[in-house]
Order: sequence, then C-alpha cells, then structure tokens
Amino acid sequence: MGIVLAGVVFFVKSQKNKPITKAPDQSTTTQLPEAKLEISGVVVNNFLKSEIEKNEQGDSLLVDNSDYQIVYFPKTKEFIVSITDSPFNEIKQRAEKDLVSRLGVEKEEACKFNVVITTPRFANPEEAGKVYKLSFCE
Amino acid sequence: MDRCTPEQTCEKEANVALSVYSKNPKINEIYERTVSGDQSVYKRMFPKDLTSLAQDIPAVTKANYTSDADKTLAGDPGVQRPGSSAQIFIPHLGGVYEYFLKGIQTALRPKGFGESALSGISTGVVPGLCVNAPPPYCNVENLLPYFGNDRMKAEKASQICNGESGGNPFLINDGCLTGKFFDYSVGLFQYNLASAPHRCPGAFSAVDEAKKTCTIAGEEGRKKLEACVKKYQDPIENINKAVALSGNGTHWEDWSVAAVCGIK
Repeated sequence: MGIVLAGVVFFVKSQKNKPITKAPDQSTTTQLPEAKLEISGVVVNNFLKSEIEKNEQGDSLLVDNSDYQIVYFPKTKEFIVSITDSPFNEIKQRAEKDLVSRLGVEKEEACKFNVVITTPRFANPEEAGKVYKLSFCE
Repeated sequence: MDRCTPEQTCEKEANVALSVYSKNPKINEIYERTVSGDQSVYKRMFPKDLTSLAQDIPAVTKANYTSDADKTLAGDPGVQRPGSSAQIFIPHLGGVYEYFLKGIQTALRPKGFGESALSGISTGVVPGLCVNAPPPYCNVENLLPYFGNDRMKAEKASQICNGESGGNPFLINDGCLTGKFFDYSVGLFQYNLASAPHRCPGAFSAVDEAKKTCTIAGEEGRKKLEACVKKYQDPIENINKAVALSGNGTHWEDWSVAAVCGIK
C-alpha cells in the first residue's frame, strides 16, 4: 500500500516538474507566444501556421508558387529554397526577400539560419547542381 | 541627293577554345614509387591478381573560368557545363589516394572495417563533376547507408539528387501537362510517374513521349496521381526507389543529370 502511495506521489510530482511542452522546432524551454518560434537563437514568426503541406518525415512546404518553393526541415532546422523557374538570379532575390519577410527578421538575423538555395536542372540547367547561400550573407 | 552606302554585315557565333595545363613536379616518380612501379609499395603489399587491375586515376580540383564573352564553358562544349563548374585534373594522384593511401589503410584494418574494398574495377576518386547535395536527405552522409556505405556510390547519388531536385523532397516537374518536358517527376530523385504505366497505375489516360505530353485520367486519375505524388515526396521512399532503379548505385543513365555530371 505504502509503495503504491509513494508511486502515486512520485508520479504527481514528476508531472509537476515536467517542462513546458515545446513545439517540435523550438530549441529552448522558454515559453513563446504561439505566433512565434525560436530558431538558432532568433525569435521568428510562426511560419508553420501557414504551411501548405507536410510529408511523412514532418518536413514543411512553406511556399509553393510557379517560381520557387521554400521548405523547412524541423529535425535539422534547415531551410531549402528551390528556384523552379528562370531567370535564376531575379527569382532568387525575390525568394530571399519572401523568406526574410515571412520569418519577420532582419537580414543580418537571417544569416544565422541554415538556408541553402538550389535549383533543379529542368528549371535552370546552368545553375543546377550547385548550392547557393543567401546573397546578403555572402 | 544622298548617297546610299550599303553596309553588309555577317554575324556568326565564334567559339574560342583555350587549353589549360597543370605542372605537377615529380608526380610520375611518386606514382611509380607508390603504385605503378614493379617495386612500388602497393605492388609489394597486395596480391598480383589485384594489382594487375589497378587503374591510372587522376585527382580533380575545382576551378572557375571567366571571360568577357557571352558564355564561358568548361570542358566539352556539347555538355554546356558553365565555367564556374570547371575542374582541373591532376594525373595519377587519384591512384595514389585510392591504392596507396586508402587501400593500404583498409588492408591494415580488421576485416570489415575501413572504406569499401579496393577494386581495380572502381572508377576511382572522381565520382562525378557536380557538387554534392545539401542536407538533410541527399548529403553523402545520409545516403551512405542506402548504398552499403560505399562512399563513391553515395557521392554519385548525392550529385544526381542535387541536379535533379537540389535536395527538395517536395519538388514536382509536371512538364508533361504542358508538353514542355516528358516528365511528371516527383521528389529528391525526380521519379518520373509518367514514364511507365506501372509507376502510378490509373493516373494517366494518355502519354506521348514524342510529344512530351500526358493527360490525367479524370477525377479518379487525379486522386491516384495525388496519392503517388504524396508517396514519392516522402524522402525515404524516394531514395529507396532511386537505389532500386540505379541497381544499388551502379548505373545512373536514366537520370539526365548523370551525363552532365559525368556519372555512369
């Protein structure tokens, strides 16, 4: 009886000591408003609220238009910006601007994130097969 | 009266080829002493059956060619590889790495440890001419277990993935709907659902490879297509499909990027 009681007390106590549940991509235990997330130590808008699609691995498609896609990988906290039409440089600039605006951060802060920009061969044969960074971080 | 002075012009695109040579002092001597010579370290350590298969492999380094011309290309003009992706090959050095350094290290370790076994059939240290894909799915480290921890195969796969999708698992090329490409290709390795009926049964009512077109089979076909798209947007499913289609990473001819990257 005593063991059962002790077990119940321990269970209740351990429940009380549990940290606040984090969103899958929050990196700290600090409680943020629902509209915000924290990535690489920077508080950003909760872009996951407007995600278009999610795959089996939990990756989020955030933007999908005829020119580019933006994908977020919560497990590694990485973004991939895919340029799916040409001219590459022009669309890349627009996509970068869109990403920064969606995150609601300054460009300098965006440079702290792990963002890669790529393009498939069907869209831009000359630029495909390489990995680009945000232009304002280079 | 104004005099008329006819001017005749003839515009023609001219290609100018510039050759690049590298000087590699003592490279022949190093190669002979370590790998190719009868008394080389490699030949004294390994059985003749194996050493006779050894290939003369170059090493490769990146280069960037620029000019004031409209277009600057590297290598074979037919491949249309940009000057920024140029590569310089250094004779023999790949063989020194493959056989003398890597091979001997593997031989000195317990069986099963170290990189994949040395083979004369190996294509050497130059898996391809393109850049490896970024994480999290198509980077070499993630692909290694799918290709039996064979780094060469994983690097080739990574470069194919980078050229096909840039590592984006959601990417779709639906060019066959407009006749632009004969593709309804999905995900990391751009698995083409339109290229054979069994790839997404019931999705298309008609496909024409010559005209590069496809027609979705009504509402029912659209639902089937959406299910197939969702399936192959899963990175693991897509990578596994690429492993199977490439014969465990041994042939990549079905991917158009392979020719551009010099991958077989």
